[in-house]
Amino acid sequence: MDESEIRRLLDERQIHGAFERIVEEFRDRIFRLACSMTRDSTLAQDLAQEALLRVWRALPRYDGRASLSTWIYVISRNTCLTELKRRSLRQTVSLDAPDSAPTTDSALQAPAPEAGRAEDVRACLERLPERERLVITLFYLEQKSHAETAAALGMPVGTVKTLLHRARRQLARLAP
Amino acid sequence: MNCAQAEEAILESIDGAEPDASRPGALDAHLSACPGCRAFLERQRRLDRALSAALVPASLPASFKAELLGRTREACDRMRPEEVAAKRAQILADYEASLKAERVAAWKEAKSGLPALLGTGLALTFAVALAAYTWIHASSLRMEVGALLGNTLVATAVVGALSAVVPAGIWALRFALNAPIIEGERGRAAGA
Repeated sequence: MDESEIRRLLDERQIHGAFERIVEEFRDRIFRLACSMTRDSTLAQDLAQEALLRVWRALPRYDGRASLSTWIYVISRNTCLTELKRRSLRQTVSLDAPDSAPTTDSALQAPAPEAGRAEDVRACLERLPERERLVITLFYLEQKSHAETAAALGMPVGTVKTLLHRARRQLARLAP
Repeated sequence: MNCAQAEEAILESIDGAEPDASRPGALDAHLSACPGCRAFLERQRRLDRALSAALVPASLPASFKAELLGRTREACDRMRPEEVAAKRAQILADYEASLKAERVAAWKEAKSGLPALLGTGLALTFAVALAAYTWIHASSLRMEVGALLGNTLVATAVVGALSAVVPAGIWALRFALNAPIIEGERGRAAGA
């Protein structure tokens, strides 16, 4: 993504124009991040709205020290974590706590082909430690992009690869 | 290549990475001789297909953006009076700072022309004095040194006065032309 156009608009104090470009560029990515964190597409949609609303409120104070995408992803992750904490699900989504036992509904559309196998995979995903589950879920939602997954989760690409391989090995053991 | 290395290479390939160019054919050679790693590869491929099928994000509704922009407008309307006051004060402070910078720039601009004007004035003074001396000398009318000095001083004073008056006049004219614009901007900033 080219952030220079948005930065130019911000430099010219065209906050509304810059925000519209941000919405175009980031709404789907924020939604996928929220999907991977919450596993609930309706909640993820609400959180994407809330995260972008927070971005809009904070936009006049954006100082350019962090890249725009990093700044927006931090706001988005914090929005999701705050909401999940409010819903007393904090322990199931922490990026730091490795172990969890999530029980929320699937956030993802049921695909037509291999439906039975997909359900099995989702059940296995729920048994993974949180960080591994989050990384492998977002990796596939982001069309297998290490860089985009790392940016959204605020992790180095190397960490994403390590967690991804760990998740694949564990899933292979868990899968029927 | 041992089994651990082969498994890592298999996982890399499932992730979408290119095969290790420094060891071409190493994985294939290992797989042809290792049924355990062949089974690992097949299991990871099945898992990859299942994950690709299962992890498909739902789509955002087409109304998402319109709803969001509507919420930003509502948030604007709901802004508390103290937030409005703070925002207005910030805009005024920013504008006062820009006005101050404008005045400083105008003063520097006017000041920067002074040396050139003074230099021109001194050169003119010298030329006038030289011409007067030559004229007096040529007409054989000997003047006293005091009178010559007096004439030189008068010429210097006239040129010096011009040197001071001209930049001041330019600055005053510039300020007079800009004043209505500045006042208008100040009014708009206060009303924002």
